[in-house]
Amino acid sequence: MAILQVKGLTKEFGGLVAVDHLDLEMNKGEILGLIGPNGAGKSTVFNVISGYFKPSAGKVFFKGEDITGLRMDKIASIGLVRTFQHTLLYSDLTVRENVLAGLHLHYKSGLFDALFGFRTAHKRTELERRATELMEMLGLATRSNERSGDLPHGYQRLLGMAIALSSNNPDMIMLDEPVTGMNAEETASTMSMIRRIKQEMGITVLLVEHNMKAVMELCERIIVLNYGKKIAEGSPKEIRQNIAVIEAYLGTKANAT
Amino acid sequence: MRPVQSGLKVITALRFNSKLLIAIAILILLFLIPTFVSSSYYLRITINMLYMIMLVAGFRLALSGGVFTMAPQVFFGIGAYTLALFVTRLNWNWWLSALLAGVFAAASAAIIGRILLRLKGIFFAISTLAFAFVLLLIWRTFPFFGRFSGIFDIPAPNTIFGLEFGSLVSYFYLALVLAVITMLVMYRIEKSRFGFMLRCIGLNADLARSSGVNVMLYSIAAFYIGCFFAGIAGAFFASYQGSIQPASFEFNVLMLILLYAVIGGVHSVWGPVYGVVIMTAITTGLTYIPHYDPKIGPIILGVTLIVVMLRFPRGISSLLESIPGWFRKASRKKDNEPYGNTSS
Repeated sequence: MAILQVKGLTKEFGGLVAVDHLDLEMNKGEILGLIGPNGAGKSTVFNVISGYFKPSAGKVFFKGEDITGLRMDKIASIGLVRTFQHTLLYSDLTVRENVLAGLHLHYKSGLFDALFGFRTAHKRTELERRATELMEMLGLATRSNERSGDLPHGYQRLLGMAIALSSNNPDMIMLDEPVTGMNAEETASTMSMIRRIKQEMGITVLLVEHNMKAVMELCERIIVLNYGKKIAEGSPKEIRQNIAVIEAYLGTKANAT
Repeated sequence: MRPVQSGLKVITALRFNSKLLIAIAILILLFLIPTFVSSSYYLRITINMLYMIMLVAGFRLALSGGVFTMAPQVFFGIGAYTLALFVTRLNWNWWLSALLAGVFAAASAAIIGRILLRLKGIFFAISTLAFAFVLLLIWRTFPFFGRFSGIFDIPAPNTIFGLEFGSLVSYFYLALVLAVITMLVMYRIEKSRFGFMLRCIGLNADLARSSGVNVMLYSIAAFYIGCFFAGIAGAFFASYQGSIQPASFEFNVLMLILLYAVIGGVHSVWGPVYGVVIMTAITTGLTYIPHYDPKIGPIILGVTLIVVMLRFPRGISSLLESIPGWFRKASRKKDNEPYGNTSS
């Protein structure tokens, strides 16, 4: 069953068409890569699906529900979460506090409860326990009391993932350039982390990434965008041999000479 | 192991109690102020400090949730005008009108917030400033609000529980009780889940949104709770002064609030208290210098602001709160609970 369906998604900024009638379908439990040259509209697709932007046209369905144009917090609370390319964390808080911040939304409560916090004592130990679990899974446990803004880049990206995963038992996560700026070692460990997210937590993963080696190894299926349009879709092997994709990245012969 | 653990428990219990004891001692000292401060000059300065603390604390609460308003002075004004109109024109009970003043200020903040909070950061700030100018213009223009001369003969609070109001000392106690209540509420919010969420929103609103926080709801809540206290402070101010004019709610009040907030430190609940007390002490102390020209005052305030911004960008509170750490550097930081003890 498709967990995410995108139909005819279009986003215009002024006259510029950033995403042009995109159709996309994701099955539960798969890892799908979204690639394309700079400015192809990958991040815009993310931003529209996650509710950061409202689409100009088209529909988005998540778990069969129409989520087109919903607010970002609504979409997150029904189980579709994301990470950001740049704004990753609450840099002034410790690692543990960052994870707790995400976890806090797990239990719904009104403003009144939030202010006076009745029956929260046992909830709190419960949250602490889950925060520790998540940090251990993502290899952040040893740094739990460090200020997150002081962490090395690779850890910050992992923490960004931990925050996204901590909110409301997500069914699907969208990762915006999860291994960008990492060295080979960090990339390898992040990739195995993404596999574990899929295998152990059963979470569907959609990712945008420029590191082709990582995308090819990680993804079961890849969609290639160029100028907001889908130009190819298929397994990593098919994509590698696709003429249109090669042209999009390298240009045609006539352009090259 | 066991004796060590129970020993630790006793020590933490003592530390908690000593904190509580210090708080109670400070409260008692505050309540005794009129017995050893007989000069009405100093009493007035103290009263000014108390209602300014309420204003700055309300402003800081909104700011901690990422809502930078440049209109706290007019919410103060809304409270003052509400009380003045209800008490003088309709002869309502003072206490009821004061409550209404807070509610009016909060309600107008909620409406204004709902309309303007779709703007972010500095754009929201500027739009609230525009709102402030419009409101001031309304007060200055319509005879209903008494135009430039404002509203006169605002009576003292009605007698309540056998307590009579009208004397300077009675106003001092009223201001003290109001300010203490304000700070208790602020402290409670800071330690609650709501306070923690506000902090997250203030640090990174997009990230909070992406983990499911209804940012608009919480920002507006912080804004109107802050403005409620500004409104109550305004009600107090109206009676305390006996008359109000639009001039009492102009830009210079905003400047003072910003100055106190920044110097005190916006990251701490107690920042407003530090900011108001320290800056008032400086400005009052300056008047003792022989041949002191009051025109120099603003220059000194400006210089203090620059020095604080350069040396302690997180305000005086960061300096004061690091002092206990100098004495027990060896003991680890055990406090990493973000929202304190909410069960109590």
